[in-house]
Amino acid sequence: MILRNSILSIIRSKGKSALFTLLIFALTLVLALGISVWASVAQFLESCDDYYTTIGLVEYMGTGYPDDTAYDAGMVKTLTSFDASAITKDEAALTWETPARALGYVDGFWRTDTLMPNRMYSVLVVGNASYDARYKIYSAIVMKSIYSLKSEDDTILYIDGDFGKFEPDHYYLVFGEVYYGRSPLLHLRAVEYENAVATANGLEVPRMIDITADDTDGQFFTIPENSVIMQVAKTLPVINNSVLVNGTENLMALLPFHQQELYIIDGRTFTQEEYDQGSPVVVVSDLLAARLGVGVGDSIDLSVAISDQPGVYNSFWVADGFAFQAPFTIVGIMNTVLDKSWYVYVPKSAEIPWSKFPIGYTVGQAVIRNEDAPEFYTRMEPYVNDRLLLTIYDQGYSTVAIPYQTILRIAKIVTGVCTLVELAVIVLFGFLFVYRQRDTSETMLMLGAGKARVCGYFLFSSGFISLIAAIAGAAAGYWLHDGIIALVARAADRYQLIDSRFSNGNLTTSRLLEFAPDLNWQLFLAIGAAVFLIACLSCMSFTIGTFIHSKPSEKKPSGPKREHRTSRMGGSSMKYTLLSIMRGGARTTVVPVLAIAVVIFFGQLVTTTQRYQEQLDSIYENTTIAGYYTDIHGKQIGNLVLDAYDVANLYRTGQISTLSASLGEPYYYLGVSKLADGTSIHLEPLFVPTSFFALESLEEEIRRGPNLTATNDIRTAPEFYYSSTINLTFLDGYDESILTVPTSDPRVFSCILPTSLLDIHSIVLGDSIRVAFDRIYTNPEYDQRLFRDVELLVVGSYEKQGAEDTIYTPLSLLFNSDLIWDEGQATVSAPSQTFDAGYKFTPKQEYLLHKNLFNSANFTLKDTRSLIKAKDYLTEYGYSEVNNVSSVRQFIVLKDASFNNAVASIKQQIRYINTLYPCLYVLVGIISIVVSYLLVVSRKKEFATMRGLGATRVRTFFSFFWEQSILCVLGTVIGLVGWRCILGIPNALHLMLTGGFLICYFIGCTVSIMIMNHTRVLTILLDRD
Amino acid sequence: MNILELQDVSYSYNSKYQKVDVLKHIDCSFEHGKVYAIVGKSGSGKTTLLSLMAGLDLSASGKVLYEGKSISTMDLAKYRRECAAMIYQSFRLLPLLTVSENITYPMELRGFKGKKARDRARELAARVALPETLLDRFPNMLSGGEQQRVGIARALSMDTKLLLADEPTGNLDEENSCNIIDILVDLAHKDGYCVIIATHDLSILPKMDVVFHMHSGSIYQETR
Repeated sequence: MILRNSILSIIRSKGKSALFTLLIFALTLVLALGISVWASVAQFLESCDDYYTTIGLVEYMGTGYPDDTAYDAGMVKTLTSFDASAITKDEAALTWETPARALGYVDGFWRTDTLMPNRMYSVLVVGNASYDARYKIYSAIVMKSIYSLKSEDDTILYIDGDFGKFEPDHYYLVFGEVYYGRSPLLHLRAVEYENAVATANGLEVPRMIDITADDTDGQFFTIPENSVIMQVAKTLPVINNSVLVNGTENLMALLPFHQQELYIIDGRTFTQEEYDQGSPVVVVSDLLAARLGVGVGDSIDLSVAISDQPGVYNSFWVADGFAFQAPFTIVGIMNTVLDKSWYVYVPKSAEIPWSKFPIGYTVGQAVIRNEDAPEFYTRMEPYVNDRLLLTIYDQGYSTVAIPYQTILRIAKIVTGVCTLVELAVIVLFGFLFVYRQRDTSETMLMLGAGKARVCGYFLFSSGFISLIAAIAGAAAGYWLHDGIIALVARAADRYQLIDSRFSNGNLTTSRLLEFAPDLNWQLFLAIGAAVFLIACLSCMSFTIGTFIHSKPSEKKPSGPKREHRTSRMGGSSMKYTLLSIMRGGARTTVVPVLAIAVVIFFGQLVTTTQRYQEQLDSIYENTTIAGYYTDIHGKQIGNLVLDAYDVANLYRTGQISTLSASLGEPYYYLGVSKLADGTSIHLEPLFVPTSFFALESLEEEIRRGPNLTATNDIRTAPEFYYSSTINLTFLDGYDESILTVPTSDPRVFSCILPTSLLDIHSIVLGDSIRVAFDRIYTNPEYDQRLFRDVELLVVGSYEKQGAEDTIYTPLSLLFNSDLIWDEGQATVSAPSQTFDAGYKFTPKQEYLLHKNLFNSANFTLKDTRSLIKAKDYLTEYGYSEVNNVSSVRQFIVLKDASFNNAVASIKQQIRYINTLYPCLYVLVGIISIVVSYLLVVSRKKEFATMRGLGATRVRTFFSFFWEQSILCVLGTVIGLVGWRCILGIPNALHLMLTGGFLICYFIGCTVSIMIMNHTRVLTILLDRD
Repeated sequence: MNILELQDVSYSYNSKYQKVDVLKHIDCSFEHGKVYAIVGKSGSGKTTLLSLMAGLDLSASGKVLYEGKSISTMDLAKYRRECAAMIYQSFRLLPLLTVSENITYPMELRGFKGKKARDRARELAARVALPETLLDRFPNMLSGGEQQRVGIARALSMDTKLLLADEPTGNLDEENSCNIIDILVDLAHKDGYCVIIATHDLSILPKMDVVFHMHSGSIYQETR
């Protein structure tokens, strides 16, 4: 019977049943999809966390950067003031590891790479030397090659004339550098062998020792085994075949492994136990393994040398030997990369004595929590300055994960809202299906049905509806899930907040993790079951409510509670309106309060949007984005080979506000040609020998010299690019503009010299010096190689930050800057041409540009707002990104990481706002319509009474409409005036939204009154609706 | 002459579950100066019949003739304003208007405003024995009997000759009921109103001139 009655109650209230079935179905469906997207994306982000590792690498951008074996005194100085605790204490930093390196040696391993420090140094025994006065050169026979990669026994060797004096019948033990000239025979020239350990021991390496022996024993020479040269001969093989031992606490997080430049091809990485215990295990390159004939599981004897002298190659001197020797078991073999084929990796905790001085430019690296990397970068930026650079390598995590983080938040909001709505609907469902039938409950109880039966009656009917709806919703959710996931994946592509092309925030190699969630049907079943149970719980609660329900006391008519003077107003609809407003009590305040709240709410929303927009504008206005040309790894900024044509084209895009370029040529200092007081000093011009070998020697001499760097901006020249300070001194009347403003006398160029050069040559500002350089001059018709000497007026000096004595001169000394800049060498006021319009160089210009190369170039973008446009141009032009070669093999980096992070953060907020606020606007509109409807409908009996008394529809319409309108407008005006007084003039959007609210409210009033007007009076009076 | 005549009037409405035929082929007529009672059980259709007479709705079939003219051809609002005054069981006073304003409201609908209307309201209040001190009070400050008096005064203010009272004593005690019925009887007998009272209170029937009985939507006149 209970069952039958329950079913009958469903059938007889079929409209309500159908409505709630659909509502619960729809909400369960949306809830299931929301939760499933939430779970899928959360699952994916967890996978991302496992899959990606983000590291923050702090490096010292010394002038020798990125030489991985260099020692830089400036780095040591900077490190003394660098406090890594800011990083170690940062919550985003999971680990912080400083490099541990040492010079190692594995007996039997030989190197052939070009990075060998003393590749051409040789120790030889030579004899039968004869001098050729014409060419100023000795020719000799190599009697014995004690150490040399090139020179062999019994071969002819040319020795530079200035090497020393060789007697024809004598034999010499010589130390020098062999090289190939233009002849196929080897030359030997004198070099200074610098080994700080030897020097510290008071040892000087002579060029040659006469080792001629009495030939009584048939020996022509006797090798002095204890001589310094022989110690050099024993040191060189170790240095040249050394390995760089790298200690690590997390091998796979080290930059080369992290960036997949290196990877394990056999065996494994270190285990945590090996890290903890400092086990003698090693990962070596397959080149090393092959040359030693070893594999995974074999042992190698690893020797390590350290010394009290800085510089990795100063770690070993044969007389001091090794500091550590032990067998290490090979657990992994990595691929061979040219410059790292001689690297071996061991746990940092292994008992190896590490170098006391930094080797390379790595200060340290932190493993960072993936999702916190942008914030970490922003927090750490103030701590890494003065040539220190923090670079985040996230393996593409941000590109992949950030859109999903946005989607996750949206999914959470949708799910939260949907859950609330679902709960509200379920409560309403329980109220309407159970509580509104409390009379039925009372009747059943009176008839002795018992509470259990009453519960059964209600629960069966409501439970049936909710069960069908919830299960159907969950099933539909399961069915639609794959489609939604595909939509999410597509949305993620569109949700890219950061355009990471060419960004210094994207110097990482990217790995791609596919979004392929795997959710099973149990989740959807659980959601359906939860909805069903909550619906049952709601109905059960209301059923219990019916048991404790007591009839309310007779309700007195509502209305004012105190006597009021009868109005003497006229009898129009306005009278009733005004009386109703004045006497409505609390009801009268509802609409104005609502309107005020809406005005404030809209104001708040608009202000928030405006604030974010202003922040965004401020970032755009106050940020300058610089960019630079670099190598494929994004490391080098100098010593590049840049086609001037491409650089010129970049400048011609119209996207560039300033462009700095430099090009260097080794120079040969000839002397001071004119003193500052005007006294001329006679200097012989550069003697260019006609002799083949002498010419070759001169070329080589010049090639080995320091650089004369022609640039239009010394501050962005490679030496100073990463430096926050540069100490420049100028002669009165001169400044840095000498580099950009053409000289009045094209034969005299100004220059800026390092103070060290001033000291060495006793040069003072105002002197003129003469330098020579070897230069190929390019014309459309021919290329001509000339030695050229130029007069340079010393107008400025600087304190050098590198090792070289670089002379800075205007770019126009080496490059016709009219080819790029229309007006001399100006770096401001970029040309008006844009890449949209295109710019065509003349064939002659194009030819000349292609013939010219720059060694460095950097620039600033004209407008940060057109950053994406600039990136589009770079992409379309074919420029390459770091680690991603494109058609033009010139790599560009834009320093926009901080800018991107800041903009992305705000844009994300704006995106939420843009997603959420329209919903809120619509919601407020709906609320205003509903409130106006409820307020009108709540007075339907008044309405019916008026109609019953003969009031026309027009009269009743305006009686209510004016009241609601006046109250709403009044509240709005109060709100706006209040806003104006406290927070300033409301803006157009605020007013527009407020206007929208008024319109919605008016529409709600109009519609509800019209509904009332078209409802039969009798229907209202009989309360049949 | 009949002031009101119903010819073959039927009325039905759709409830939640089914169509309900409330009135079935009603024929009856009413004259000036008489008090009519329509009695019947709850749900017999008394209120619906009275509402159709008051022009609150139109019959599905048949005619309601006011002074020989079908009200379906008339502007119903005007009919309610000028021809038929209704007194409700639940008083149906406008809660935001004072007693005086409630009484003057129908007058204002017909264009009588200001002092003239207020004086008339005072006069009508006196006629239904409402103390003048109550005129500035709101309905929720009055007792049931007082509110019903206001309802009657409001009906009288409409200056119609047809007074329709739906259970006017339904919410009142015996003394108040008696007073209200006396007022209505006086209005018919002394002032020539046609007063039609729907009631299930059989105790008032002796004061009635004509009694109609309703049963399941049908009506028949009691023979006296």
